Amino acid sequence: MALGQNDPGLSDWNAPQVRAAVADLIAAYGKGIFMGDGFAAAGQVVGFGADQAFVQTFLGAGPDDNERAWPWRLHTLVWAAKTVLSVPGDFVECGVFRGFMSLVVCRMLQFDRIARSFWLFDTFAGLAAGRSSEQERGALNDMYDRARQEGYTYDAVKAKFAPFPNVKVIQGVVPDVFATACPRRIAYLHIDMNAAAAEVAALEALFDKVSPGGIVVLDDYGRLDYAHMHAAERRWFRDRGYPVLELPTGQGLVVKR
Amino acid sequence: MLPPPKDPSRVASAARAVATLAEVFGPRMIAGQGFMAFSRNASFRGDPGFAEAAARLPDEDARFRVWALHVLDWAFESSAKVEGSAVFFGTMTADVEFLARAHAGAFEGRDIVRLGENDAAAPRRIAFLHLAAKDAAIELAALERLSSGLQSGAVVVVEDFGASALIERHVALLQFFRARGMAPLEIGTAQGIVLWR
Repeated sequence: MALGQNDPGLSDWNAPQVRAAVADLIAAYGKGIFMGDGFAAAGQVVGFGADQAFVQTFLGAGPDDNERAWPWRLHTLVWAAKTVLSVPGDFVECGVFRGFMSLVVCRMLQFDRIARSFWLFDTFAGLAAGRSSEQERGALNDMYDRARQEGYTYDAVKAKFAPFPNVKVIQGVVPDVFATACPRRIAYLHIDMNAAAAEVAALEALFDKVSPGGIVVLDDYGRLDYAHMHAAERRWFRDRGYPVLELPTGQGLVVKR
Repeated sequence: MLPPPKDPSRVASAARAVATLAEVFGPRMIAGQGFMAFSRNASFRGDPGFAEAAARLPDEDARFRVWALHVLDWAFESSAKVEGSAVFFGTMTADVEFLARAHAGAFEGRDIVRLGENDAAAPRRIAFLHLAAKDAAIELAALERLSSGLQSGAVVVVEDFGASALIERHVALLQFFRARGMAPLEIGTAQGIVLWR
């Protein structure tokens, strides 16, 4: 597994001396090192790496080159999803992209057997002008345009979740789209829209709907290239008396009380 | 920092590789015990209470624990709205003192209970449990004794849950939690987090 290679936020990984260092570490530790997604760990169990159901589901969900480096992120999401099964409310993801992460969660939980809905919101057209900065759109919208050829469309994602009749794929701009479709109670909230205004607006609209004991995961909270979004979200939670756990994966985690 | 590789002939090349990454990434590389993270905000380091407590950590080993202390700090604060005591089982004094400094008044406002393997006390309600004795038999006995007091929503932090050197303990604790329908979140600091249900 490559350490953050091809990750647009970590261009230093393509430097020859960094590639050589990564190769040396892999040679030195063999299977004893986890490397991926801007993170390296050695001397650790990494139990999910030995969990065949998890590994097969992760790989079977068709990760792209970036997503292939995200098993630890997915471990967090699957843990959160399983943990909130005793909490009332639906599952929500804002920022679905090609549906990879939620597909892993659905398959790991056999979500079609669970009596609740999973709401997947995305523009399927990249970052919306009214809910993102010019800089954010400039950094990502070309990539979103290219990804339309690789499954980043409403129809493709809808088809991907066809085996899960309780998954609702909804096209629209968050939070405006909530005027037409919105869960009443939420147990699991995953926010991954790569735009500070959109993510804070989602929190404004949805956090009060999260049941006590519910979990919120902020996908890019810890990434340095999203420092502005991190600051906005941190302040938002701090104003409401909630600490955010910054995980080494780059995710942020909040437990609703 | 990463532990040395098992093959002695690879120790030098691994150290050189880590040094190269440190040189390229500079302050964007954060090294903890058993891990390195790159291009992260790690903004907890700038929180006034946390920064002050971190500045008073006694030595370099302790400074490598800063991210692990953030996890502990988060769990302590996140559990403050749950009714019950904050219980430290086998916790190093330096870690308890860190939290006391980082949280100042809030720490004194909570019912803090420090327990060791010879303590039979079991608070009636527990909102936060730090399990750090690093001995499966002792910790399982403690969990059996304390679990009836753990409130729904309590946060349990298992220190070194992910340490491969303690794999038998890992398996034993995993079985304990799984038998109760829970599983720890294994995080890169090698800690495990359980939200008690």
